[in-house]
Amino acid sequence: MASSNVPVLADFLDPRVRVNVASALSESLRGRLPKAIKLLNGDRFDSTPVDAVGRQVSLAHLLHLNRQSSEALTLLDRILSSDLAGLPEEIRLVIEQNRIDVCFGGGWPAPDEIERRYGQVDRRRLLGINFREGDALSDAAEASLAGNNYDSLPVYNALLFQAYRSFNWLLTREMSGHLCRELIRLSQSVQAGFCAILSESKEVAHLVADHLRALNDASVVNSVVEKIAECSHLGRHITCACHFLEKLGDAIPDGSIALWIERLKPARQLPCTTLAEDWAAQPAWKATTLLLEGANTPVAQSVIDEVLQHRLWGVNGIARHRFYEVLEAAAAVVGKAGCRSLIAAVIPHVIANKPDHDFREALQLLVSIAERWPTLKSEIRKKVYRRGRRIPHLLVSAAPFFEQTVKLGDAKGAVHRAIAHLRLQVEQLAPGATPTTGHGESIVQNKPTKAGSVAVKIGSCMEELGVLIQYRKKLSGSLKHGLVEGVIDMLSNPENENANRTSLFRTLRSLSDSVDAKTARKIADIASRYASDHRAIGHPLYGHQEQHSPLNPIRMGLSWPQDVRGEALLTLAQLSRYHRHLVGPKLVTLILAGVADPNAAVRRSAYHAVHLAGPHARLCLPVVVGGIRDTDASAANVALQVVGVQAVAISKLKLVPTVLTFLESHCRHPDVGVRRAVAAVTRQVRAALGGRKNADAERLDTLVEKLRADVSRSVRAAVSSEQGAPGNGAPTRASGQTKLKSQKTKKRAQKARRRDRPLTIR
Amino acid sequence: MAGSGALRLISVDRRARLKALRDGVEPIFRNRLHRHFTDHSIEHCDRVADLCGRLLSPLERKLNDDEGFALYGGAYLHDIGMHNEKAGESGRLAQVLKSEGRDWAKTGFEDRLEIIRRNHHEISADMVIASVRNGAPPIGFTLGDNDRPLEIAAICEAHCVDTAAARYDSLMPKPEQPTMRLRLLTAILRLADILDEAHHRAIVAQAQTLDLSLESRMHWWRHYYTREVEIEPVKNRVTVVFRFPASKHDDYGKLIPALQMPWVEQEFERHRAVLAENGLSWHLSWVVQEAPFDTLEQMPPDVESYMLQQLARRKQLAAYKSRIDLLAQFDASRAHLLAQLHAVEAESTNIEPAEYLRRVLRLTRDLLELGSDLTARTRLKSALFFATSNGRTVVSALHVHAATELARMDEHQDPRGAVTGLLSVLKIAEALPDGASEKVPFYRALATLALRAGAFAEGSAAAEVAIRLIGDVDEAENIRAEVAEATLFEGHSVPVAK
Repeated sequence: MASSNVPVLADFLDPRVRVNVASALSESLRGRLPKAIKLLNGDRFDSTPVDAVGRQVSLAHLLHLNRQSSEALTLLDRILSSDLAGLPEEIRLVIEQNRIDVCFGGGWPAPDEIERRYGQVDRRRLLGINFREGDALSDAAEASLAGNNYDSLPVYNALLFQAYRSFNWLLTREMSGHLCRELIRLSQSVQAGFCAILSESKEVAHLVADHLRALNDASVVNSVVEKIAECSHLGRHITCACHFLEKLGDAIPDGSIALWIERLKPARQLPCTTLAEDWAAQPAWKATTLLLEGANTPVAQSVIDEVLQHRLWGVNGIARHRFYEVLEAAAAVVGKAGCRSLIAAVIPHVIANKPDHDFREALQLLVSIAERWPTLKSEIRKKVYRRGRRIPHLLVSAAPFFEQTVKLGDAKGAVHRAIAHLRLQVEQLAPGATPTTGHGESIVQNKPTKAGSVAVKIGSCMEELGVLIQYRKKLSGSLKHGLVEGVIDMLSNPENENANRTSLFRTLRSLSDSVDAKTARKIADIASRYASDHRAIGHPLYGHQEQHSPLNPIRMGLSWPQDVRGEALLTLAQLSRYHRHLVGPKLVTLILAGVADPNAAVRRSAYHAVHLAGPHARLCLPVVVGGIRDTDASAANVALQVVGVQAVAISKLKLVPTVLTFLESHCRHPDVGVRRAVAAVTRQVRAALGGRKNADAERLDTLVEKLRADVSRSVRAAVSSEQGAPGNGAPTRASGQTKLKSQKTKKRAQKARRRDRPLTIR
Repeated sequence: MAGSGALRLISVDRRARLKALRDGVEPIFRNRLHRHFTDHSIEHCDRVADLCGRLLSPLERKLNDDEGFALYGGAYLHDIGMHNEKAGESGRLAQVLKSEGRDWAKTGFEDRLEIIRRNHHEISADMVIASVRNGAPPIGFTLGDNDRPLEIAAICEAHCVDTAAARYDSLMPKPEQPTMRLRLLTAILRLADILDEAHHRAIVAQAQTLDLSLESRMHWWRHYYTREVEIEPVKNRVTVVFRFPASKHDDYGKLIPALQMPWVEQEFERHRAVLAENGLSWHLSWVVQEAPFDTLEQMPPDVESYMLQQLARRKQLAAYKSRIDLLAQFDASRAHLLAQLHAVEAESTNIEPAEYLRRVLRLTRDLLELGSDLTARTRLKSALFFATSNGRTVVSALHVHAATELARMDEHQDPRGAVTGLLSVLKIAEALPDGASEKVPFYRALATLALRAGAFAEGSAAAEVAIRLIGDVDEAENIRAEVAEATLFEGHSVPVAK
């Protein structure tokens, strides 16, 4: 385990100085930084010059933890420029590493600082010093995995102690993280929460939050949140707490909302002129978004005011981008007056002659407000749609929602233009030629070929097609036929990407309610081909990979063959509503094959397809009921939503007892998305049973009681009312557990999805 | 020709013969096969001969004529093999090549040069032997039996042989002959040879016109900055004088002597005994000379980088060697302690358990001190178990003491084992009188180890007892500090020091 022969700074200090160092950290953790600083500035107990070094390094630590990087750096430079009162080289190396910690934690370090860090690493290696106890950590990890926590926990504890006593901040953080993971495994949640804050790690904070959501025990959640509130006062700890709250989401206890909104205020109000400020502010805004879900009107209004007065709000669309999520969350809480002030602030960014980067988000916010307050629709409409003004595609798409009539003008020309633009989605290029852009593409992929290259534009034309879909009823049959043919051509193009194929299938799905039999047949043919087993020889996407190689570090949020297959299945299901004869029993066969597919994405779509097809896939309902127990949480979630929507049919098929059994086992599911869906289904099945009093009804009542005690606000809301509950319409893919993509990739994918489809009302 | 210092050592007759020898070999030195090497010309031989004379000047019993001729003969002949392009056709080299199935005629030029460089000391010796009573002597001078050709050949060969190697010993007579002190002569030649690694051998015009490799350039510049060797017989001091360009004075001062001097120092060290036997006690030092004006050139950056690399490599090698030495020391000491331990273990059933445990404790403590942690821990654990099980017992104080020692050994390898080991004897420790010398260390160890392993309750309780029992105020403060640190990680508020 720990190397006994490596000198540690604590061993050189007067014991009373050591007590005060520990006390200072403890005080500052609890929000009493001035007292801690005073304690460390006092030299009452210094018995040798080394004590002053220990106190100053500790002081630098507190300043660093509070994001006062320049003060910490000045202090450390002063310490390092001395001879460290004759302390050994190993201790100098630790202090040097702490200095690098400060340097790298305070924004982009200067190139010479990077060089300095590399030099430090080399010096350590040459001296044969390894701060990390690799063998001990590895042994402890193995013991922990084998369930021998009595062996691993003491090791993690001892390593944390060793790191702390060495004054090695980086290692203390790391070891706190290891100890936290171990404590989570041992269900010592409060202690784990404390260690998560000490670890300053986003990943570790998320682990604690995930553990709490899965544990679903309100008293434990309260205790942990209280502990974290008690010891998160320094800047870096507050950031870590933000990550925790962000992940805890709607399980944040209502009682702590006001406290956290207030505590995050200084971080939110940072002007974000430096990277370090941005690192502190961004998580604070994210956490605030989640906190607002449980906030009251004055608190939400105060956050809106903060946003509108923030320096970045007046800068540009890119800077404003970060605020829309929080504004949307606040808009869902504040009253009409508050929303009016928000509309006034946002309208200029929607009607600007040259749309800024936040145009889409601003419009989405207006849609959200209008959705909540329908009476505000006309106010928004009057401001957004002004007679004679040319408006972008997105506003045209949103016009029906705002009950605004927009003249499409030359429909034929619009369709022909859209087809022409769509054909450019995959463009053959001669060597040296540049691809045509400007049709809403998010990424342009260049694939070299023998004759030059092929440029594939991901997400191009989707806004343009969105407008045509919105006005599809006004298009003639032949125009729609041409449009469908154009879409199918592009969809079948072997050079095209699956990301585009999924979007194009969505386009076909949207058109399916207004096409004639001839066009519908074309859609049915192509959808049937793609909805079959994508691993079978003969499928157009046969041989495509289903996921990124685990060794591939570049993970673009593009689509996979299973996504295309799922969209094709949904298209076919939608089409069956209007052209049953064209789809027939083929749909049921494809759905059943989809439900049995090993890939969760296909199963999700298959369950969803049962809902879309309605009575034409009733045969598949028992399978969907079975899908509630799907091993994949997001697939189970969709199956639950379909069961909820089809509650009446389920009741008629006498499947309610089976459903209830599954709901009872799932009401404590670790995935909050599943529990939310369980809550919604419980309510829907209760409604489907009417006022009947029988054994099923009693079981439902018990279930409701259990769900009302859930830690997640959304679950409690879902079981109690229609508001905020999923499963009222088409199934969504929301799941609290889906972690397959990184946050960044997820966001990119969300963005891409938003671009891919016409604006939807959320 | 060698300076007057050298010539003074031998008689007029021999001096004339030496002059003839020098004249005979000089044309061969003009061959200069190894053009990319620092100078190995007849001038180098002259300087070596001169240095030999100066190094021998304080010699108590002066060289006799034979010794003098053998030494100077060696000075002029030790590198002659470097210039013999036909070296592979005769002598030992020819035999070696034949045994390896290689043909000298078909060997490439560069390979030949490398073979010659590697074996030039043997080639020189063979050439000397082949020149005895030979009308066409390969060294250009016919040696007679009175010229002590065997001794000259031995000196030539020994000038490049490791002094620790068996071959070196076989070349030197045992014991040293009073009339032919071959070990001394060889030592002096080797020292003179290495001391001549100076700027005389770094010829600027040649360096400017030859396409030298980085390695050769490094040697060239190393020689260039080594300006001279001062030999002060009165002070028994040999000083190597370096000079550097003013702008690089400090940088080169850290680099060149560090690169140059260890070799020279090692060579002096190798011959210290033989020099002392003959009343020579040379002390080696070096100095960087500062000149008011200098025309010295700076070496190119790539050469400087290469030198730095070489220096780093040399230090790494030294560090590695030091670790290997430590390991050898460890192995020897461990084997010694293990033998004692085995002896005690063999007696385990014949002696009292307490005596057995005491002896094992002493030996395992020594093992631990040596660095043999694992052996110490496992052996003490076994002994403690043996002495306190199957009806065997030891006095409580010894039991507690051994458990405390074991826990201290376990601390870094098995923190859980350390704490559980101590807790298993807690009752016995509690029963000891407060004044028992084993009691305080026990609670002290339990407090530290339990607090560090996360057993806060047990650790704090033990700390309280230890503070109550302990007489030393400072140690009590140390325990309080440990409790404070553990309190911090328990997530509790830590009171300030009083």
